[in-house]
Amino acid sequence: MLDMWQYGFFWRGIIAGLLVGFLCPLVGVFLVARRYSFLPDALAHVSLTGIALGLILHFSPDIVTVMVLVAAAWLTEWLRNKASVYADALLAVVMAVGLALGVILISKSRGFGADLSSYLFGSLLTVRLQDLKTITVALVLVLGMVAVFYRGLLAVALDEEYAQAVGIPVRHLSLVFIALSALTVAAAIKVAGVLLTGALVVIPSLLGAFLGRSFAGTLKVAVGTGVLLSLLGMHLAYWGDLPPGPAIILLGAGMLVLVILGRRFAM
Amino acid sequence: MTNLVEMKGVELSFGEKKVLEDINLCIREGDFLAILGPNGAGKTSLLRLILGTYRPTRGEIFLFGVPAARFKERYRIGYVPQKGGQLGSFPATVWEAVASGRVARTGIWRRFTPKDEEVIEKTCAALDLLPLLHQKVSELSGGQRQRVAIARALASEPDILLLDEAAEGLDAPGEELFYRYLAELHKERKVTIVMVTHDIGAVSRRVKRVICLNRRIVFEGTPAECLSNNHLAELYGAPVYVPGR
Repeated sequence: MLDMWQYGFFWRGIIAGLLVGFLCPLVGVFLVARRYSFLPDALAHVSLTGIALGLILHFSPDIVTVMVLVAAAWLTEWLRNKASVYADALLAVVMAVGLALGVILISKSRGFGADLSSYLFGSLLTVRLQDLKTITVALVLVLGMVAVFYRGLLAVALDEEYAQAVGIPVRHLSLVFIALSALTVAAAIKVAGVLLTGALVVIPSLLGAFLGRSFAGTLKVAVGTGVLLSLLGMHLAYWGDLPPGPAIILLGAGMLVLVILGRRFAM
Repeated sequence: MTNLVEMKGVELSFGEKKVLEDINLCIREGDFLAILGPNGAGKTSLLRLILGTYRPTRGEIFLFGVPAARFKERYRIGYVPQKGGQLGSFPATVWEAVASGRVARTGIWRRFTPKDEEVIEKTCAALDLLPLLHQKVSELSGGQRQRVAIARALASEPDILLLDEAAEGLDAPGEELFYRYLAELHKERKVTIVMVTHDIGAVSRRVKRVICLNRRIVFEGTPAECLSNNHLAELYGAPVYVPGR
């Protein structure tokens, strides 16, 4: 057990995993409550476009990815409000377009090579100090937003139509929150990859919703579960020689099945 | 008496379709008003115009004497949506749900003061919700959930309460209790009440003024006047049986 702790890259991976485990459910609970669970998955697929664009433009793929994700998230929110399109159908389109555009741009860029797999499935072993900084910035911003606007976010999450009717600035609040969700996705991709980030946001949030007795309780359980899943998943990955992202997700899915079965038999 | 809502020549269209036309309406402080009308008559649209979620295609709306587009104190208008809105679809306690209504008055960033918490608690007490404060809204009965929706609307201490078919789906005792709460609110807290309803029996017993709506206002007067003539039959296109008459 001791040997794994002596490597710097392992420490970075562990810290990144824990921070992402904390960060993802923090936005996830509000997204799930607003029936917007598919947003992180769609944005994660769009991130391929951002990464490829960054490589083609010879500009930091991290920064370009964040910019592309925020733009895509705002466009999605705008379409949802203005075009009255079903949110799930809209997100399916956004995801497909993001992926298609990403694949085309990747075919035109030469920078991906062997990295593509780590972009798709995430890799704790390749987490850089810069990635840790990005994740920390995302966490501080999301935590700050939730702490300051908790009451407003709660009102919108519980009943968006009502919140709008009584004058709560739903649009402004949503734009800021959606931008932070995009930043969260950009940060989580380092750990869970394009294909699994959505699950990292949604699974702990669902566990929170099943186990919490209140909204605040749901948030606490979701964040606690997110951190615990990251920790257990990373250990499982180390001992089983498995990729960490999929290990975390499968562990979470197993826990979700157990909770659902437990509730069913308890009724 | 002050005019809380004033509509002058208001028209609402969605594309080619006219939903409301030539609406001239005044809601005064202390009113207990029912809006009756068949499905598709524009009742909910009328409430949404007052709430500001719809903008009129033509005409003017004044809220508390201020043009609706410039009216900022939206917390002064409480709203109880159909079936309590989306409450109960995600885990939240009764306290959290009611407190979310207070945000309309406090703003989205300010923390609750002891006064805010006192108002929330008193509102819950007035609606017999104190024993349920820590219970999940999703675990409540239809009637209890409806009371939570009313408490949420009242938590911002509104001057006027708009109810959109709020008693729909309640059983007979639940409905009786619901209307008793409304009557108490109107009498003791001096809240002006506007309710959209199909419940003609309740209208005849509870409210002071009735508006019959079918895209335009076809009748305005007391419940007795509404029921004594043939207004309801004209409105619904068939004879209407009113319980208790």
